Amino acid sequence: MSEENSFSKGLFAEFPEDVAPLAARDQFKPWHKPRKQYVRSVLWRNELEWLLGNKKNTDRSLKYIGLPGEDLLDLRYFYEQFSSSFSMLRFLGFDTALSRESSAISVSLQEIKSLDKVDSSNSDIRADNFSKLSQENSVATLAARDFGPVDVVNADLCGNFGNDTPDVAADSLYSAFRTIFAIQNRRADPWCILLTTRIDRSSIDPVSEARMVEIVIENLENCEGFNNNYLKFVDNSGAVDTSSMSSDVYFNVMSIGYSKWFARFALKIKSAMTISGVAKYKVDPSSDACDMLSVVYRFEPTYSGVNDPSGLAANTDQNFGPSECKIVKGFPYAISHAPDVDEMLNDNLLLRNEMISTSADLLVQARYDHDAYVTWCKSLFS
Amino acid sequence: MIDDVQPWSESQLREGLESFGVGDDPIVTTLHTDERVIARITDGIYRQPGSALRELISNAYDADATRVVIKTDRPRFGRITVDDDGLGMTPAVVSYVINHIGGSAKRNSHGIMLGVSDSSDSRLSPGGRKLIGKIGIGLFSVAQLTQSFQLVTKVRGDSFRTVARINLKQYSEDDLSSSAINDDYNAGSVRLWRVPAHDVDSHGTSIIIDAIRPQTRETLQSRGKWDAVDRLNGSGGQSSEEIQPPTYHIGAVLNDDESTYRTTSGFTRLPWDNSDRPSRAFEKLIRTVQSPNETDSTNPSVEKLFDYYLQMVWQLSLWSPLRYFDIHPFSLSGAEDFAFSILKSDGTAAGVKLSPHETIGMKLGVSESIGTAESFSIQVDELELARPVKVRDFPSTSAAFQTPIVIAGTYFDDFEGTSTDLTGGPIRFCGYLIWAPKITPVENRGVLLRVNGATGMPFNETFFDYPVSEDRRMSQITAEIFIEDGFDGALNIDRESFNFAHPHAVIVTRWLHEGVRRIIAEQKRLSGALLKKKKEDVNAANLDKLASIVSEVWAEREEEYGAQVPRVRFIRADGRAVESDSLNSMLDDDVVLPAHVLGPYDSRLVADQNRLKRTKPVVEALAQILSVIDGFDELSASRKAKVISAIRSLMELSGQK
Repeated sequence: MSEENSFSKGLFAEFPEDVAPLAARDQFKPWHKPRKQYVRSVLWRNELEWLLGNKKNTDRSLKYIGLPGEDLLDLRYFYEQFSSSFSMLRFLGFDTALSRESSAISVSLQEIKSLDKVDSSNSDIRADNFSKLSQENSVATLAARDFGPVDVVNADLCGNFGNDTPDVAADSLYSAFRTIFAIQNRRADPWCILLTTRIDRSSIDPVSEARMVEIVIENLENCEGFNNNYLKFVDNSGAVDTSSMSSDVYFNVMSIGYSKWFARFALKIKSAMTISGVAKYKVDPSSDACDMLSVVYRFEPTYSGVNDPSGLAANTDQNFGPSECKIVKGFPYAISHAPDVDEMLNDNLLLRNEMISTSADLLVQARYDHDAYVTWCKSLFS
Repeated sequence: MIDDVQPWSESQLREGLESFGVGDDPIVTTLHTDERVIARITDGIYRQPGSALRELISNAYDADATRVVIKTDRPRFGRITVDDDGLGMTPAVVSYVINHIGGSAKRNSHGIMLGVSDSSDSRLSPGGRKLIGKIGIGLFSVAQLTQSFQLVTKVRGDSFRTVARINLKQYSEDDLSSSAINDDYNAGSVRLWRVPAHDVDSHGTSIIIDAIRPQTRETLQSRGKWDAVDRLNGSGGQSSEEIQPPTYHIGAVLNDDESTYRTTSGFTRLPWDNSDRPSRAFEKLIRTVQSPNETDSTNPSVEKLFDYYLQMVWQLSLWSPLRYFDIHPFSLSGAEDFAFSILKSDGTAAGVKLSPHETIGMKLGVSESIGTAESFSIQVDELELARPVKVRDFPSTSAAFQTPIVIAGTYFDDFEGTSTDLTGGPIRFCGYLIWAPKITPVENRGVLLRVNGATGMPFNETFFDYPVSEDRRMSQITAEIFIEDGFDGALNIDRESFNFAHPHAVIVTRWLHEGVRRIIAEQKRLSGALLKKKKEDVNAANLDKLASIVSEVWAEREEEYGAQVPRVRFIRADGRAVESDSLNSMLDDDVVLPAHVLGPYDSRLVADQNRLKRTKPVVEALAQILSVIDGFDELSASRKAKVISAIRSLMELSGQK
């Protein structure tokens, strides 16, 4: 554009991509595999059941922040399973696909919003990357702050957040979770993070890796329970040398490291944290170990006294709330005993068929072809 | 009758004219409109982005929706969705709309056939609502916002949804000049498909407006305002009222990074909290412009206090057929301290007394929900809208007269015996005018015309060109007219103005002007009466005070000598007494003074008459007080007059200070 006609700069909007209206409903993606249904129906379902049964306040709604994808499968699943247990479902989703061709999401949104117990007025999907929550002054952050504390944070990441370099990446997932904890700090009821992320050597930034090792070692040194469990269940050498450890051990060490990273946020917001569900599977077929972690972190706000900084009140000089050692000592056991979902479904025909069947039913709600899905699943296990 | 005329085609007409001979009968044919004119109109006839949303709301209303939800990603405005739970559009309706841009299927037999109108009355929705929108225009009103949008729609019982991506072409006269006269105008392209639906019973329509025109986004973002604020902050210049950030706003994004807020905007400044229910949040928003105390503004104004987005929300709430934020104007009852009058169809008006349980609606025989819709709500982001018109608890002023005055009436004319070609059909409406010491916000001053509860117009401050200059009182009037039958033909296609020459518009205007004349006259009468009474009360009190001063001075004399306070008589030069003073019953002790001691007086001048009313009791008291002094009555009449005149002049001087 020449200098003379600069008044026409930015005058025209970009038309959305003219791609196929909707992807063919007999073609399936990796996240449609029955193992994902296992995560939903075992890990997530148990957690939601517990959360809804342990709400203290009178608000019976289910509030959800997540990355729902164009088919909104997780939301459909939660609605189907728990609509009799909540008064209303409110959700806030983030999906950058909205800013491009978004007719698939538009159809899914209309389907979901027309359900009786979906608060369509207060539910939406925003065309932002989840990582935009890292910025205090982003539109995404303010939307999340306005939406308020939630019951469920579903961080079902396509990639992984270990890829971000700590303190460097402008829109890092680390910082996004910092915002999530700041928002959740206002919450009185238990809540959870459903984290799904890649854990393998190629997908974790070296600086992140070093930091994770550091915080694992810290507990090895200062928490006897953690040390015992780590030596017993993860690596009896106690060396924590990532260059020499096997892929399995690497997966466990990094998973424990990230879990400890979340636990420290829990302590900051005066909450107890437990790993209430965990599973793993393999995404990269060439990998010699599982490389995908699906974990449920449960947070329970605890009573916390405060000491008087001015010294007028009698201070108790005791540490209020749960201690880091108490929270993390069970992590080595939980992570190292994460079931390999691929293996389970391979070995257990009954379980596999159930997952295929329930997953097919769920996909049908999103207009996928039932029979094509079953055929596709069979091909996966042949 | 015009309806009986047979149309001639263009070629027939040309041939007929070319071969026209002397003595031939005149050719009679019908007038045709050019479809491309309609295409031009639907390309962008609206002045503001809110108009497009209004038309989509109207369509939802006409589709019997009970709820419309508008979601934006404010303050970025990259995407706006309008969801309704209305009947949805069948493939037939979608096909009709695509092929008849600008041509509404409503209000005609097509509407009945397509199921978008009641099966027996094409002016009603299938659910019996009086139609307010025009489907072919409403849908394409989004051209104001974007050149590309999505439609997702479903009707109950259909096991499919219809989905469309519509790309509109920018209208260009060049396109027209290059096409043949009879070619249909190509207004854009559309991709349509159907997807299976498992929720067979669900129904509704979603319009997803993405690819919003950059300049429309700038408008919605109030970018011009924030740029000016930022420029001023950057230059360290003095701020003026024009470049202050709006008092209430949704914040603003950076020009070069629309996912990030500007720091100058300080995020949002909104009068509600996140924990507020949507209806409560809207109530709080409206209160900021209803009450001068809420903000530091004597005359709160939507335009001055709100950013563009909040102004738009306020407009949508004003335009839509929603319940009132407070009571319906026809629910005003005798319990309110109001003066009520009824304006009759013959132009006469009469005051009415209402009991505390009697409403003006009852008196008129008009529903107290007229102009509003039952079971219809609109939510825009976190605000549930209600009509932002309040007809009681007006802010007070320092003026003496504060009592609100209501004039309301109904009107019907079926123009019996006159052809509908001339009349445009029957007209039926009702309305009210309220005078109050102050109408807030300033945007609510004037008259608002609603057709079947909806409007696209703002309050008209001139009362449709009321011919008499009564600016101050007109600014103290708020009025609404609810059209129940007719007027649709008078409305211009954008529904933001109307044809003043249409018979219905003429009748409404005449009714309104009579109402304005009556309410102003009533206000003058009532405030004048109040003023007069106040003056009389003050005069009576002053007279009492004068009498008491005089009797205090005379008390001793009365006690000692039994002397009475003398009467005072003012004699004119012609020997007659001033006013009603009688000379027949003169007593010896009466003090007689020449009338000129009262000051210059011309009986033809009202000012002199009024001054005399004030001066005479005072001079009278003065003469009585002086009479208590021994020897005063011995003075000659002219000496007495000189002394009293001098004192009166001194008093006047003192009064002037």
